[in-house]
Amino acid sequence: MNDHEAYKQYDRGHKPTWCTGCGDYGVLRAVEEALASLKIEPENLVIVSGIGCSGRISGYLKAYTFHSAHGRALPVAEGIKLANPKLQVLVLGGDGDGFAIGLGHTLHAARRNSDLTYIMMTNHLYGLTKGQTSPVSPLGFVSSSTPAGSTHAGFNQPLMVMAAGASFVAQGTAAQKEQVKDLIVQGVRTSGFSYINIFSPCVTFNKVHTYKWASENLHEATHNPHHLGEALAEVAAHSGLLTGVLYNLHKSSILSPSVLCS
Amino acid sequence: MHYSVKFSGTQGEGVDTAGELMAAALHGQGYWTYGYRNFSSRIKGGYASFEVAFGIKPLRVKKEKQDVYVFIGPDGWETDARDIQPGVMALADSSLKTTGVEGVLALPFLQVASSGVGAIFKWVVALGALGAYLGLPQEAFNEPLALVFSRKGTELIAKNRAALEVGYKMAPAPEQRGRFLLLQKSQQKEPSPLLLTRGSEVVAQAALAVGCNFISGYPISPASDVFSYLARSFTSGPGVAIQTEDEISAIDMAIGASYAGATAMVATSGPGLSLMIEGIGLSSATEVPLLVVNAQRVGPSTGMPTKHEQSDINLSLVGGHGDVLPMVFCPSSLEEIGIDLPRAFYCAEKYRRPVIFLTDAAMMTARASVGELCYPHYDLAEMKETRAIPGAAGRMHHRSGNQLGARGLPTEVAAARREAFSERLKMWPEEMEDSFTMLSSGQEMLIVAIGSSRGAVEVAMEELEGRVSAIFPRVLAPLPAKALAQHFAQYEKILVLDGNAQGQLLNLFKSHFACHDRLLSQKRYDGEPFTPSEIIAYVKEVLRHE
Repeated sequence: MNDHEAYKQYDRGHKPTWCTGCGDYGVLRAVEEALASLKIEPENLVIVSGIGCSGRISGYLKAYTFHSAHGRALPVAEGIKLANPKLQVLVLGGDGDGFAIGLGHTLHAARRNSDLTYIMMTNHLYGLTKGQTSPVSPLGFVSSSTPAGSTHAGFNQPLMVMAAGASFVAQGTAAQKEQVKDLIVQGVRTSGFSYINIFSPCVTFNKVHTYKWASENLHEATHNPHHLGEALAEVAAHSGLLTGVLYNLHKSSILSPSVLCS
Repeated sequence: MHYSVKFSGTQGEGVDTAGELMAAALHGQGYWTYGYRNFSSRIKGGYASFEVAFGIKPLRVKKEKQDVYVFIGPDGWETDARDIQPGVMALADSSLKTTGVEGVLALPFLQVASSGVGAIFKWVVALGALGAYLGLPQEAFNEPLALVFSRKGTELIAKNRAALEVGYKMAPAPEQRGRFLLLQKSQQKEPSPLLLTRGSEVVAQAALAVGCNFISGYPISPASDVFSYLARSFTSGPGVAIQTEDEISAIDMAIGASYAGATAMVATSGPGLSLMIEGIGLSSATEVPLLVVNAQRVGPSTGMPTKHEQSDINLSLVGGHGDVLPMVFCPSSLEEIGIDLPRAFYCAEKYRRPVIFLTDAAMMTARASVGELCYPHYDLAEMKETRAIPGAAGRMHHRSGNQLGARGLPTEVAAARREAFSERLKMWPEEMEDSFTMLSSGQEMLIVAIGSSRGAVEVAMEELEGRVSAIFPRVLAPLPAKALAQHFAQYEKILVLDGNAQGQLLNLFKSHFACHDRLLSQKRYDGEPFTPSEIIAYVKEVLRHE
């Protein structure tokens, strides 16, 4: 296998159930290429995912993979990492998974600064249950669960995770595979909690947050990512619609480094 | 013959400490003791008491009537003064209005403490007076004091000793000590107890003995002591104790840790078990071994957080939505916790499923003397090698809360589900038929109970003088149904004791056995454990109509 095809060692070869054109295909490939670039041994890699379209991604990756319950990918992953800190643990899930039912775990994993890489696949709705409003859908968002338009604003995801104590916060879009791959590599290399949000459009149910929306509304961050105050101010001022590394301050994880199982 | 002393006062002022010290001192003198803490869900204020029963034979339940009371403050006096019947003695602080009540000795505990070592030591002063009154040597308190205050420094130990000394000097003259004479150790024919412990400690120690090295938890009464014990232990040895944001996170972390090779557990109580139900299902579906210790308390919802009940039987047997099929253990003594908890870990590992270990509030919190505790050894590390644990080369696989088909991907095909799930059903273990404790005596009735109810049943059996027998199932799922059926067949009347309103245990037996007309039911669900006298009264009433 040449370098160009090295990503295939992380692929189980199953055909995803995702719709044609789904942003999650781009995320899957970016993850595989990042893993190849990091040269992580698949047997020392654990992928944990939540529930929803995005949660299926663990079944397509070749490693030790664990498709957990809705919203619970992070605590399962934290238990794995605590039991055996030598394992590389990647967590993947969608915005309903991580910012609605699992929000408490997301913020506490960031607070604990658990040494994990959390890849968030944001499509601004619940895809697998046919398109309901999500906690990051904006005010006025029309869907089957808010036919008159959502009466609530969506979360500013990176702002919350930064404020909770994550070491590394970055954003990209599924269409920009090279950038996403680079952000994942940086995130994995950072010790502590790394959060990488990827805008991954749902081509079937979301007619607002499309690839075109992403290209028109997201802007590359220009602030100093090592300064928390600046990062918070910029991310707040732009309603979270920035790409690139938003915050990166190396902090050591509070989690005990004791190795139990090897 | 057992005696009982009761410290009756205001919560947070030292009632518990006095009770704990008295239990430890009596235990140290060779008496079997049972210390029952009566407390409420608040930190300071209101009524609190601590009863210490003791004698020369083992006891697993509190005594229904006290021999001696100690009172400080109106909270205790107003609640318990009516129980000072003829033959009962009381030492009461002089500030209480005790005049006219027969058997009360007024002593200035608070005043003496305030003018000397300090008012906060008033209960230790009273403890000293009680020690002298009982004829207990003052040295009996040396070790308990050192142990209880070991983490708080030598200065505090010295102050407590001084307070105790003051109390001893306050002791009434021998002629004032009434009829109450402490049995001398030399009179004992029964073996001495070896350990003074409580359920939460035995759970933690048994877990450590079998190699538990991971606990995740969220604070809850009355289960937090298990977490605290392991957290302290893991600060000086290998192992992880992590406090989480909620019980959902706690159980999922334990699942992750177990999947990654740790010997992991959680310990919780009613409301926490409700939140953990989701994770119990995940453990079942993903076939990840998991031990859940549950200390039953009064429910539903917050119920009565510090009070005893046995009402999580149904929830534990069901285990969640779908066919979860957890194993459910229910040891009936501290000794059985020592034997069964390691076995529960073994079963979780062997059958790769959730195991719920049911205890109850009385069992977890009562301070009791025990004989030898045995922790059987299981080689869990060797068993773990048979399952694919992350880090092992060539054993990568996919696990999921979804039903997986033959290719290891989620399936919704009927045939694939039938094939995969029937494998799970086949794993239902049959080796648990030995999981009960039978106390054979009389043939007139068989009493069936679980958990700490055994203590009351044992006393009732003795007082019924050989008329009834008792059986305590130690596993409810899979129920040792063949063995129980054989024993049930020997009796015309089978009394099932349920520490809940629905008859959850009774209904379990009804679903397994056809002998419905021979099953009798007695229930208690007011936050208190069964007492021997109510069981005796029920049994006598039933047998009178024979």
